[in-house]
Amino acid sequence: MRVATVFALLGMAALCWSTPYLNTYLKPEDKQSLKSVFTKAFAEQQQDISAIHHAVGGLKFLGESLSAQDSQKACEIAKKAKDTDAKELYHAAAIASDLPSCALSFPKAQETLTAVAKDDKATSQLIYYALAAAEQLKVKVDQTAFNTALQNALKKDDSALSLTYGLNAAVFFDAPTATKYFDRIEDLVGQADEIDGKYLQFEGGLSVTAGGVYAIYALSDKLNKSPAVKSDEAVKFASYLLNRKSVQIERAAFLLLRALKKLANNKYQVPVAFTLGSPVAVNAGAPKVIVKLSNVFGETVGTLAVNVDSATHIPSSGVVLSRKQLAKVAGDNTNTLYEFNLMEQPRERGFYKLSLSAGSQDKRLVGTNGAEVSVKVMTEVSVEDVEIAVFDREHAQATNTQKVAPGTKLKASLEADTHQKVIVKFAVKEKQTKKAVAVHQAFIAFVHEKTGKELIFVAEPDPATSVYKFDVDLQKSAKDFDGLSGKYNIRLIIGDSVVSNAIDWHLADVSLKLPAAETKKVKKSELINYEKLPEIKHLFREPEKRPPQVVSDAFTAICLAPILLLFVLWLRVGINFGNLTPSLWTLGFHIGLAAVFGLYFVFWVKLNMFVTLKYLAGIGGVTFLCGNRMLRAMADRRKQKTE
Amino acid sequence: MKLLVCLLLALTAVISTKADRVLLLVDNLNVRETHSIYLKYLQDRGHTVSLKSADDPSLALIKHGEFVYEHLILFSPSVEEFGGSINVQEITKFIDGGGNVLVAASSDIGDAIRDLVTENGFEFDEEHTAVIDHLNYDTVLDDGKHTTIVGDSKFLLDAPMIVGNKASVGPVLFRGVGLVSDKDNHLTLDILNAATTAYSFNPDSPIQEYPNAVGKGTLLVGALQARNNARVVITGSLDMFSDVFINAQVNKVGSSDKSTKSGNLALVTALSQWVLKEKGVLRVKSVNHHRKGETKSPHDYTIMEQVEYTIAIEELKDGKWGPYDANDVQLEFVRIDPFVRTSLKATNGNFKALFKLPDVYGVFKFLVDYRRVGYTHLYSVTQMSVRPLEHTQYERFIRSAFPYYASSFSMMFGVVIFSLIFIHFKEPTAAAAKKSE
Amino acid sequence: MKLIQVLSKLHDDYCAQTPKKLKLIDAYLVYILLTGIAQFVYCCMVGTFPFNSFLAGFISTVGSFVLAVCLRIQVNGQNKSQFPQISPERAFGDFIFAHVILHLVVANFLG
Repeated sequence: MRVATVFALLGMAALCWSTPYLNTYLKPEDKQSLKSVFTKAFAEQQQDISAIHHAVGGLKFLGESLSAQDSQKACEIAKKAKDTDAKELYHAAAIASDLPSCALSFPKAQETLTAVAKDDKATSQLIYYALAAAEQLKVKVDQTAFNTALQNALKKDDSALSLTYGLNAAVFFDAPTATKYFDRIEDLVGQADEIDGKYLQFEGGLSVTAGGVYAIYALSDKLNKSPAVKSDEAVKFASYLLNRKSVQIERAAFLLLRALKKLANNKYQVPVAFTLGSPVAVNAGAPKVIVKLSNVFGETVGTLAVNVDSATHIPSSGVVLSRKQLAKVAGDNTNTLYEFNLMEQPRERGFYKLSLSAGSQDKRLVGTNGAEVSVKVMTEVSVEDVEIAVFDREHAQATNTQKVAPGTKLKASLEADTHQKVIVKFAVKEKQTKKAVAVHQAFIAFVHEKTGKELIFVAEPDPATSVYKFDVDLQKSAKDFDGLSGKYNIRLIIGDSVVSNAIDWHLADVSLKLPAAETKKVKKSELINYEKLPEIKHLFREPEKRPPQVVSDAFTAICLAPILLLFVLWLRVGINFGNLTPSLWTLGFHIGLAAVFGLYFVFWVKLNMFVTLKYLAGIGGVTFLCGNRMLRAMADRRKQKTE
Repeated sequence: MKLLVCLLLALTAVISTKADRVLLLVDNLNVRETHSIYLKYLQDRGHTVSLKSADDPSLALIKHGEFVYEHLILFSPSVEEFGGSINVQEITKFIDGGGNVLVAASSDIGDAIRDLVTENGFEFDEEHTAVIDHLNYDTVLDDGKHTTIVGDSKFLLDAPMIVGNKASVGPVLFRGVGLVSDKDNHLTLDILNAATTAYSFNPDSPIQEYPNAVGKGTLLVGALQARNNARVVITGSLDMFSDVFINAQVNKVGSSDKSTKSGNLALVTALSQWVLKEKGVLRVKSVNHHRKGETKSPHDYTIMEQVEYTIAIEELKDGKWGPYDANDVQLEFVRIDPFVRTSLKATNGNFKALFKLPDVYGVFKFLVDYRRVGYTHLYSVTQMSVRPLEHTQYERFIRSAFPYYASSFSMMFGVVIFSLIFIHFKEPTAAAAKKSE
Repeated sequence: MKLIQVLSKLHDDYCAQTPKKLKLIDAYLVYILLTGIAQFVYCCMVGTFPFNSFLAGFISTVGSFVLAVCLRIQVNGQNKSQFPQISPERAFGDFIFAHVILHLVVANFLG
């Protein structure tokens, strides 16, 4: 009875559209990522007590326990807190409360914490630290004084940040005092910014939003009063927080987890996440769609009555289902999975938008209507009636068409050149229904076997018969092949997002004979070469051919032979030294002349011109003098004789 | 004691990589968290990363003629107009000045990124298109449209400097827009091609025109090294760098193997190292040339001399310059056209060649023009003159010229003997002739 | 036949009428000629390498021949009227001087 009314109410609620919904939760890999943030912060920031607090606290939220050694280390760090600083006391106290056994004693704590209430300049943040520390260190503080201080602080600063800390602080007051702050929740929510119609955040980003969301529900729980937050707003806050789940800073991660924990476990509003628990693809083999309904932590929110309000086929916009109830998945010990069979009737392939809603006894659950989940129905296709033909381009109709059996390659190797056309025809049909389908990808690829170079053509369906046809006129398309002749593999590639068996079918081989493409001349300055260039060895000029040494020596002798002949001839003519008058000049002249030629020999062997001229000046001068005297004497003698 | 330990730890923790300034522009500040692993990797390598929003009005790459950053990373696919003084011309000027750029896009691509990439020898497909491969998608991560595809490492370019050890890179997850390279640009490199079955189109529209990229011609990652050695790496998938893809296990459709860890981290770290000039950077330390047997360079050479040429090449490895080792560096001896081209033998970074100068004289240059995929272009020119033989350097006392030598000296000998004979000769019939008078 | 007769008359007249001094020069000329021919034949056989040596050697013979011919002309008594100022001694002096220069050049060019 009650269930029926709930159903009816939900049915009406389902009519309002564009309600925000939560389609994600903190998945195990997200938890893992956050865990590594904390462990890393713990390992690397041991001097920073706030980092240790957040790391330890964060790991506790994730249900991870520290090793005994690490616990001890954390406790020691907590013990070192300065008890004159309220903030450090807060962190220390928080660490201690998260550890199994860590006793702290801070003598000056009482004094420090009480001083905060008296501080005029205390911000709501400081007051929160003081109150939290006091609570956990079990230090008694004056609630009235703190109340006044907090009211003052909030009067001075009522930004989202300040209000967040204020509300967090108010949780530590006793109920009457805390009630005074309950109305501020509305102020805080009013300051929220909406993004994209999906998210709500406070100014200051993740830390402030997480802190604020936690405070709202903590305070509400404490006072047992429902907060002034609309269901939609709660869902949008949750969406925002979950959107930031990949945060890498330990403080923000800690606050995020604390807020999410509160959202999963409070008395008033628990956002429900709708996620797909089965693969996106649905087909006859796997016809069930599983939906997971959980809180933000992925935990169960109790048994729900889940319905598919409508299932819309997106391509045709047709509604194929309405008002079907989902059943709990058998053997599910998480108590979050619900399923239904989408394929009870054969379904058109394509994407489907499922509109879901859930009903529950638990009135805290929010975001339970208008959730959307997408699935796609896949289908298996088969390619049939494949025909391939290579024929003269002059002919209008194809001759010598050959059929290719499904899944095989044409045994005969085809040949084609620029006088021919190649035609491939095929039909794509759904395996089950044998109806013709249009697929997104229907390509014919020509892949050159040796080089791997490919040329891909798009096959188009005939509008009347739905038969795919592809043809290429090799004369027109020769330059597309870049003049590369040789054996090509013809592959038929069929694919679509809703086809579960995409096909890459090596249909046939064809040897193409194409005219070589003219190589484009690349300017030398634009040429880029990554390879080693051929070596160049300089071809030296051939040295002149020389005769064999025997020949040279023989002719040396031949050239010297005339000297002998000269002596022979002179002796035949008759030599006398009748005119020789022994004289110093004669001797000097002949010796000098011989010396000059001797000098020339030495010059040829090793001297240079300058040295030679130097010597020549000397020897030549002497020779000239002697020769001159000698000749003058001879001339005088001759003149004497003729007189 | 503790202070000493801390100091020691600090010293050893300092990674000796170049401390470069990187400007990283995003169109969604969430990238800080969704790509935290990659950002942390950059910082661990010693780069100073300034992460800013792409439309931040205070952006500037060049201030007062000086470059403010060494590298630019664009993780802002959807930006239509950059903020501040940055625009496509400024980025082009940045590259012309030696700056390196890494661009990652997505199906939500804006015109600014498309124009930038066109300037660099590539072209992205239009917005709302994606690379689709119905035979190579990831069954777990894909949203149903077969756009989350798996790139096979066998389609990576054979360039260890750019992609690391090709064999050890696992399957690469890619979700984004397709890239094609300009065939007329000879400086582009196809780093990762898609499979023959892939194509780039709008997944929600039927194919009624030829897709802009099909088959292997669809690039998933492309790169370009400009003539001034500035490096640009372009990819259509910002998700390739994301934490989700880096940590993911790959479940390829139709694959019977159990899921393997994605190779994204190996690939993006290798690409980063290359584009940020941590790897594959060469420089000439010194050039030396001299005659064989000598050590100093002479003022000029003479033809046909034996010359020894040494060039010391260094390679940047882990932030330090060390000797480069290769066996394919060549020396060219050029006077307009090369006369000699010989390989240089490497010993500990010193590349030596010994060769004989040609018998042609003129002004030559020793040219080392080393261009290999993944390395910076090394170009070293040393000019020197080669003179012809001096008149005292020709061969003398040639055996085949002995007849001529013999003749010449025979002539001289002849003159001496003749003068001796002739001058003192007394004509015997002269007295008789006188008597007759 | 006429040629042989002319040549044989030339030869007889030469032997009878030429002064011995001139015959000495003629013998010297024959020597130079043969040396020159030998070099020329050698060059034709094996080529002109090295050209400078060939030229030096050949010019040496040619120059010597020319100078010797000049000396013969100037010393020949029958030409006295053509060289009134030049005594045989002077001719010889020029001859020697020219040779000194010629052979310096030859030695330099010989290589």
